[in-house]
Amino acid sequence: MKNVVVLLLFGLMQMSVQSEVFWLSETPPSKKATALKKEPVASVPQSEHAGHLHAQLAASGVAASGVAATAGGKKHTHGGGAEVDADGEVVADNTHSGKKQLWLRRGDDARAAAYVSGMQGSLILLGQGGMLPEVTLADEKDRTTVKLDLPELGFYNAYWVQRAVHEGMLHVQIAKAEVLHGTCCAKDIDEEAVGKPIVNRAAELELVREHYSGEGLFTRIVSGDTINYTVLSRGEPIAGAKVTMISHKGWRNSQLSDAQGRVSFTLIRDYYPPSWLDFKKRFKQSYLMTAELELPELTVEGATYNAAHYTATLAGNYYPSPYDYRSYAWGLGIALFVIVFGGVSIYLYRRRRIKPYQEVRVDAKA
Amino acid sequence: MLRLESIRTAVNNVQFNRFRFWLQLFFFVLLVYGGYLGIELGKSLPTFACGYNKEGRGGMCYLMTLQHQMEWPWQKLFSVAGLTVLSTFGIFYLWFIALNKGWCGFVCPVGTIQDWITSLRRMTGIRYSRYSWGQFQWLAQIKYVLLALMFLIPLAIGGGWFQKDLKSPFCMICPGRTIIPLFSADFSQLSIDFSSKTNMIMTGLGLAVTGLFFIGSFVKKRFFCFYCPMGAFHYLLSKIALLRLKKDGSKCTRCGDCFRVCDQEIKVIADDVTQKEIMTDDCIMCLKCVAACPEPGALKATFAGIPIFASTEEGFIKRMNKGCSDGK
Amino acid sequence: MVNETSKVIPIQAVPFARSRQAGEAQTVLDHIVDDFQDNPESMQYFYDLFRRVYCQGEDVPHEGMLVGTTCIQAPEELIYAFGATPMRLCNGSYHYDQKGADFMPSKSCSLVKATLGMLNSELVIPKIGRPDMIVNPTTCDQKKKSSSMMSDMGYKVYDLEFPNVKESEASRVYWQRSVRQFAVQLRELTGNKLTRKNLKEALNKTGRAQAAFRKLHNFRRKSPSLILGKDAFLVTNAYFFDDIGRWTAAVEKLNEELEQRDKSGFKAVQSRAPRVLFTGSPPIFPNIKLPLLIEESGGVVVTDETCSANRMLYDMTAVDEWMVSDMVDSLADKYLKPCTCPIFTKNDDRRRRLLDLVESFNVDGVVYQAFAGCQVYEMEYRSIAEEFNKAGIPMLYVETDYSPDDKGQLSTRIEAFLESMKNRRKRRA
Repeated sequence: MKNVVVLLLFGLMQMSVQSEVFWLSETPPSKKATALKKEPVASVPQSEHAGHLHAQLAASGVAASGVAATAGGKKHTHGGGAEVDADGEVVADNTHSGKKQLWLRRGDDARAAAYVSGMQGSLILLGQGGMLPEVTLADEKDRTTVKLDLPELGFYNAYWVQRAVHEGMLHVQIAKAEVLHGTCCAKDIDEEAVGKPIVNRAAELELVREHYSGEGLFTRIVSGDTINYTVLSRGEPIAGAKVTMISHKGWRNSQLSDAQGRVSFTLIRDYYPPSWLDFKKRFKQSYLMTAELELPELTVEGATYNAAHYTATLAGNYYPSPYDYRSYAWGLGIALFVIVFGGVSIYLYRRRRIKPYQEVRVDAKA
Repeated sequence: MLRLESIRTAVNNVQFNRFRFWLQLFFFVLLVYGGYLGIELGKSLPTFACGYNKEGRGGMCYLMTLQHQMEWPWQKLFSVAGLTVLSTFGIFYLWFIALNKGWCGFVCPVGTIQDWITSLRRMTGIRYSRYSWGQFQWLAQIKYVLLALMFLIPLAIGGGWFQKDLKSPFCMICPGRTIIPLFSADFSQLSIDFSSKTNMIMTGLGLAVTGLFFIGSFVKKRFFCFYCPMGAFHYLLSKIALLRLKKDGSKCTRCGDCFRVCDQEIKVIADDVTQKEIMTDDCIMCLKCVAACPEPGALKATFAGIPIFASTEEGFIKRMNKGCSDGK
Repeated sequence: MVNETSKVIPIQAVPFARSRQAGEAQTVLDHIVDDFQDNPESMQYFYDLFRRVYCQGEDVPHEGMLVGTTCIQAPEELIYAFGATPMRLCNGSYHYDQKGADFMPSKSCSLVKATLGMLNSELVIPKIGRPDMIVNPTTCDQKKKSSSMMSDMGYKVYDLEFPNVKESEASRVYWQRSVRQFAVQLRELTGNKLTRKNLKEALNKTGRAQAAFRKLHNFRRKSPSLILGKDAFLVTNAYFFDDIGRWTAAVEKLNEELEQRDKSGFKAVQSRAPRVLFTGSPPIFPNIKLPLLIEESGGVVVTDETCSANRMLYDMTAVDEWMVSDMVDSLADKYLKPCTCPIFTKNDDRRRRLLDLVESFNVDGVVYQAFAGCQVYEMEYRSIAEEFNKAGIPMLYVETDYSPDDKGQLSTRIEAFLESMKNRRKRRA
């Protein structure tokens, strides 16, 4: 009986926290946003421990466990058009800069989740060589944001943690952002070594995206790509976690992680502009990954809880697949047509040498 | 001095076609595969070492850099950042004056590919095409038009008149873009990009030019070089170049052998007996004319004034006899 | 009673070697051989050749069909490629000149008269046999008109259309077409086909001959001279009818000997002997009258610009692609573009060639021979004289023909000319 009640409460909690997913986004708020959604901060009681997990964090080096690169190299398709965001505005491609900015958003709508404001605290920052100083959240134009200055090239992970206890159940939200200070033309750097994903051994739940073999320091994911994730808890793979991918338009797919903690998702194509003329090949879309884990009774830092519910989020960007707008058939067809047409024309033109020369013409107009 | 004489004789009597074949092959491997060996000769090379060949290239064609720079917004272009444009151009110019248009005749990978296609045609026994004099004269203007467009279109993008899809307009139509990456097994440049009308037209044009390139260079020796804006650009800058092609008109019998072998069908090299500098805007400085001249001292290639390859009777006889006696 | 006088003693046919015609050749040859000192040993081949062919009337063998040519513009390589043998028909014999005068206008060129006279005779010396075809490039007026005369004599004549303007693109294309049609004609005549292989071999043959000639030409640059002009003219005149392989070998031997002479510092003439450039109407054996007069008087003909010597063998063919079509067109260009024959409208190339020869051979003076009746050479004299005047080079203009009557007068003029050259040199020195 007690179990049923727990389960019921658990379910209710699930429902109520479902839309309460927090995630970190690199996408700036739209300039056309009208109503500022001021989210009351204290809806979920905060623990003093929020954001102070860094003391428990061990310096984690570059973890090699379970993050083998996916086969299938990606070639850089650099240049050609600026990126276009959801509002149709042109944004600069920020990959090469070390200055990044993250916003905290709430809700599981990858496109239009609300921007949180008034949140305080700081983000844990992990780089290749270990931990970096924390960065503090601040409000800018009524949006909670944090500015990062990434010193060197490479991937960095930023974590925002929120803990709450509600009716004896521990709720932990870990919003993660994988930020890249990248380059598409690094000649002196071993891109494979520097571009490995980083693991946070102190996080209770974490989604780690496997990098592609040719990715290096330039990430470009397009629809149709298969992305592999490993779900880790304190650095160890965990099975049975529910991972959901939410695409730009809101399509979702949920899977459970397997014994090695791995899940695999294929991004669907969901960019269908009203007409072909509106098609922008650099249209930047966002996708959101959420992982959820339920743990029964446990004791953490001396406190005992009935159950614990962990939510980890990780967002990313994707673009329309080149296969949507590039055609080899047409290309080769045109080349072949010109070759054949040209060849036949030249042949016929050269055959006319059998006739005596007629190049000088004298007629009434001459 | 005797050693110098014997070196000079050996050079003048060299089996020129064979020498040129190996030199071209060497430069081809250097520029198309050099990247795999860690060779990086910079982004201002005066030859088609295509930038689209990302992994293999041993250096990059200056035209790509130039077009990228020309399409900077005017504010940036005409500010202090514009000094970068001048410095890149300076490096290009230094590379260029070393070999003058010899870059075209000996180094350019696209030129080498055309020479290979010509060899293929020779094996089939199909004869080559020549332009008539009238055709030659008006077709020769096309490269200047392309050169002008190559400057004006990116400038117009920087000034906001054209959209960014038109960037690197010459790269889009250059056969180097489609063909050179093929040597690194990169077929991505062969597709038509339908994402916008401009992209569609430009990539379509590019593939059409590629088709034209193949059929053209099959029937005509060094077909593309006649229309190459890099060649036109070279010629405009060639005043102080070190490698020069000189003619001594008093020794010339106007036999026309030089015109006969010239890939670009430059008539003036045979007919003009007054000018000392005989390199024209179409010349690719392949030096075939010097190799085919039977009059000693009539034609010579000089480097900084020192003759390095001159026409000699002995050299001519050796080369023509070799051609007579074997199957080349 | 048998009438003794009724026994008619048939007139014995005089063997050719004792005929007046042979006597003419004999006299010249003896003069060439005996009246000069230190003839190169390898010249013996040529002396013997001329003795056999011109003085004794021996047969001149040939391979395949015989194609006679009347001008140097007829492409020999094509003829060789089709398995035939080309032979130059231009004749230098005064005997035939007189024969030709029977049916030719009085003011005609001696060369054409002699050639036609020869073709019209029953006995054709050199005894090459009856040509299967005669190729007649349409060069000067007299050659053009002799075309129909030759076909009236029963020969098969092919008119090879040669342009008279060399600068225009049209003429170049026209000439290429003529040569291609000639190739077709040869195919019909011989029944053979033109292949890459046989054309290459033909080019090889003439290429070797031209290379050998160039070497000889270069040896003649040396001062003091290694070889006299009379011998050089004999060598090139032998090219008209001799087998090309044997000729080339003989010239290569001659070159070796000249090499030896050069190394040992041999002098064929005095150091002060005036060096002469000979230009104009071609001296053809036995009419080597003028060069012999020059060399008898102490001069030396170091080089020439005539179609029986230098112009015939100097220019070499350059081929880019060794395929039949390209080789044929290259040949055509080689026969037209560097040609300095006076039949063209403009003579810029001839002037430049003469100046270049004067300079590179260190020539003291020029002797310009024009046959009486040769309108083109006579008319060009003016512009050439201007050119040499500007350059400060003395020139002697001689209008002559095949008859030996003017030898005395000419020798006086030549001696005077050579004297003036010697004085000039002394004054300059």
